Amino acid sequence: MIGQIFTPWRWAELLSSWQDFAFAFLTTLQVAFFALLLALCIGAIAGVLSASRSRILRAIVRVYVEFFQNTPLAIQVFFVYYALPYAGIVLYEVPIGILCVGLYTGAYISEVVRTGINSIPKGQFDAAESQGFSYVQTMALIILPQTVKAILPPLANQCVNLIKNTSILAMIAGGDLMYFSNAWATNGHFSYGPSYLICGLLYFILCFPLTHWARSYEEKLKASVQGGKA
Amino acid sequence: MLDVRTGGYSGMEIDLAGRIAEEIGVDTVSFTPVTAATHGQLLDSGDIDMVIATFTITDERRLSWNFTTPYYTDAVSLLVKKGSGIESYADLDGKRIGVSTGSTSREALIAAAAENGVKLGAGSFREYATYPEIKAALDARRVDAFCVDGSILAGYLDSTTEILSSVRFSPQNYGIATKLSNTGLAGYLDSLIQTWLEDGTIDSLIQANGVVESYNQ
Repeated sequence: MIGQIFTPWRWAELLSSWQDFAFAFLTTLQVAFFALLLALCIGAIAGVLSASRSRILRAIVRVYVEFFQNTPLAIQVFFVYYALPYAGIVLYEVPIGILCVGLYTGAYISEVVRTGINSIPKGQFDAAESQGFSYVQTMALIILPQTVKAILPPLANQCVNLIKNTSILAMIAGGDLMYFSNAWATNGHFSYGPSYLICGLLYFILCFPLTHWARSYEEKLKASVQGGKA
Repeated sequence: MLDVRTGGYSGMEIDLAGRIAEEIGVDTVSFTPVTAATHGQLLDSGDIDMVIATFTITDERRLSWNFTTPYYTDAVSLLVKKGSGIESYADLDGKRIGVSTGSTSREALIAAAAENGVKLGAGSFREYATYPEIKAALDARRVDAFCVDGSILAGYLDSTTEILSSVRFSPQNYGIATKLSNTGLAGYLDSLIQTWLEDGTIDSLIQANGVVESYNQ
């Protein structure tokens, strides 16, 4: 692998296929973007419901979260790809990626939202109620706006995990960056060194700004809290 | 092939490995399962000393590894569902074909189809990490055909599938591969294979394992 990385003709070969790499990268972006939308919607709703007073709603969210957190994403994807066609449900690879990665990450985001809500002192709920706020008003106007700040860093981390998890599509010939890099690396002249390096680099370029931002934001948040106390 | 009951491996290539070990004078052979996507990299990393696993000899691959004289010549074919309506190259137009990541079957089928006036592009192919996954994809109708060497397809033939005798192309020579820098071992193995091809040892290994005889044009 190291030897290949210092072999110029292998890089020239990779460069001549840059359009295919770009297309695969766009496929990964597309899956990540829509999966994130799905995960945020499901995660926000499930997170609020899991902090609700209704025992039934909490139980439903619990089942969803536990199921998706405690089974491998690979099994979920295999189930949709290999098993559902027997029930007459045939989804293509990109929609499978959006659906599976979205549902999987949604479970984690739901937990992030729930802990965010729980971190708000209970006295605020009581205070809001005493002032005549309904439950929905309390949540929308008082609790959630305070929660957003605190949960942004863990949300960014979930987003990074989501981006990397889209590479699960490589297992079902999904045409994403991981799949294409591997297919390209193992065809033609077997220039797997440059191919895997570029693949890793592209994921890094997507994820690093997010983790970096999350960390610096968290530190700023801490500093402001300490500053407030002083 | 791995026998899950005994935990041992069997097959023509396993017997060939045993013969080589006998010749070198070692008692046990350590087998590592490989795929078309991993065998070359495992040689490079030094995890394994040689690949005797339907590793097709190509000019491109000779740039990266040493190969012995071929010990077997196979041909690529297609496994399809019975009643799929696929009977010739022309029927492959617009179909999805499952191949193993890193195998030469893809390029071979593109070339053979082109000779028969059928244009297949990259979009016709789906690449999977392992053969069982391609069979599962075929059973789930994710792909319409499973394309690989006939000797491998024979292992996946069941009552719902058939191997197309009308589509058989691209004879492939299997050789023992070694790391490019290990020329000593490569030369030694090559002389063994040449001797065994002449004295009928290889033929007897093929027959003893019920393998179809080498493809002859």
